[in-house]
Amino acid sequence: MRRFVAVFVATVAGLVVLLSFKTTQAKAPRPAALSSAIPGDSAAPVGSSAAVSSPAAGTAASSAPDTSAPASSAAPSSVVAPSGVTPSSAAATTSTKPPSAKASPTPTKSAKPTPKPTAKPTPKPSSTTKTVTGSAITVGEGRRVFGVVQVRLTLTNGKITAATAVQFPENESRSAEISQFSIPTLSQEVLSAQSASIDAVSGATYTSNAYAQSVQAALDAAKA
Amino acid sequence: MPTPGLSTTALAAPVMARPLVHVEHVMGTVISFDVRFVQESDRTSMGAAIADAVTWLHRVDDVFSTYRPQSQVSRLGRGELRLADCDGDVAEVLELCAQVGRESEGYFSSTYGGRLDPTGLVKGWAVQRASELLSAAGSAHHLVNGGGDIQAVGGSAPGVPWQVGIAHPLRRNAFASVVQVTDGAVATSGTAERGAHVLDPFTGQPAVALASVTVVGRDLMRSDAYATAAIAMGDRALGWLRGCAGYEAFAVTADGLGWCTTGYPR
Repeated sequence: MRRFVAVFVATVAGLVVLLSFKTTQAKAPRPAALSSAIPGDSAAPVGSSAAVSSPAAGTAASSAPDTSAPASSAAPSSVVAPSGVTPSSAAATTSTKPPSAKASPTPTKSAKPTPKPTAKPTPKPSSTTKTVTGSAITVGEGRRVFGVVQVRLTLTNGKITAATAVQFPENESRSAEISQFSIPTLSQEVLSAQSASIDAVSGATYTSNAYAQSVQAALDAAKA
Repeated sequence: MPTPGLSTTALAAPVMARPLVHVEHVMGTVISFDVRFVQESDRTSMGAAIADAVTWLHRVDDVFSTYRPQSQVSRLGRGELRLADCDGDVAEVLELCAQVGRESEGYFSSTYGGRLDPTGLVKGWAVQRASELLSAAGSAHHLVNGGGDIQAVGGSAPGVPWQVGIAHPLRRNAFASVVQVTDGAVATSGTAERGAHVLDPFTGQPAVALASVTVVGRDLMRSDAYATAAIAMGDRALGWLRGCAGYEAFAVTADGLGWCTTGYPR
């Protein structure tokens, strides 16, 4: 689902935009209706073709990245972005706002460079990591529901270091398309290392003749 | 603080005897046994257990092989033999084929083009039974690999799961995935070795959308049959596999992309 992926990427992009304004001191007060722990612009951009039924403004959570998240990314805990667009570059193309957002965000306001900090410098704390989980968004168009998407970001020292999708659509007939990922090409070194730790190989049934050339045969010979 | 003179690693895991490995050509493929144990004195009894399992696998080959015109299944298929006159295992296998056929919405079938061929289930069933024979003989750690379909018990050492590499169907000598298994089965079906030999039973056409499907679960018989059914299903397979409680799957499409069920240990 292209729409779904677009929403997902856009949501992450929006959260990146939010968090990039985190460290500014001077900002306009935000309406209390948006109970986000993240200061700054609350724009939650969505793909232009999808209707969002709940605000995507993140609410803070503090759990570690879920290592068993559905494997729909090209690499563990990375954003699904089949077109190669990274969150930071996608932010530049974001232009729509969710209909239910009450803020009147002006992104440029908080982006002004701040003057030299007047507060006395405090010693930088040691690396802080926290996790932010966005609200679960039901993605759909009109009456069609594509599914639910929820993004969990890991922040280290205020920068996004990981983004994981926590839920994915359950629309079965298209699920293969959504969840596909690229299998990493393993370098020879990695293959050798993996071979060193592998006990057996599962693959399509090899004939007696094909066995002789197989990795399994090499393992059987090496172990004996 | 570690006791002087006593290495902490010595307390961590027992030193294992050398693995007992046996390779047997049977059922048109090669079945590898890997049995692990601590006491060297167990080697003889484990060797005997392997020999019993091998004898049984040859019996299965004699009864079920569709490549042998005089096997019971071949003769049964031609109507020359009644089911009641066959080995008791034949009826059991055919009943399992019927069950799995229902579970797979008809995509797993023991008849192809009108011919009786329970091959898609027999190998996994046989290897699982061979593993059970080893367990009954006292083995706590073994892995039986029947031509790529694996039943594993325990680990390569106590507390160390078996590491199973999933052969990449499109790249030689590469792995598409690696799974850790303790007391479970890993079965892979696909087009890499023998081409598009799995047919869609409804269209009669070779199923080509998926290059390989790997199913991980408790027992090899169903893992093997489900993997075969999934190949036949093609693009519908993920949706169906998601509903197979107790089984997780990983697939490589013909385009070289991967997908897997949520619980797949990737």
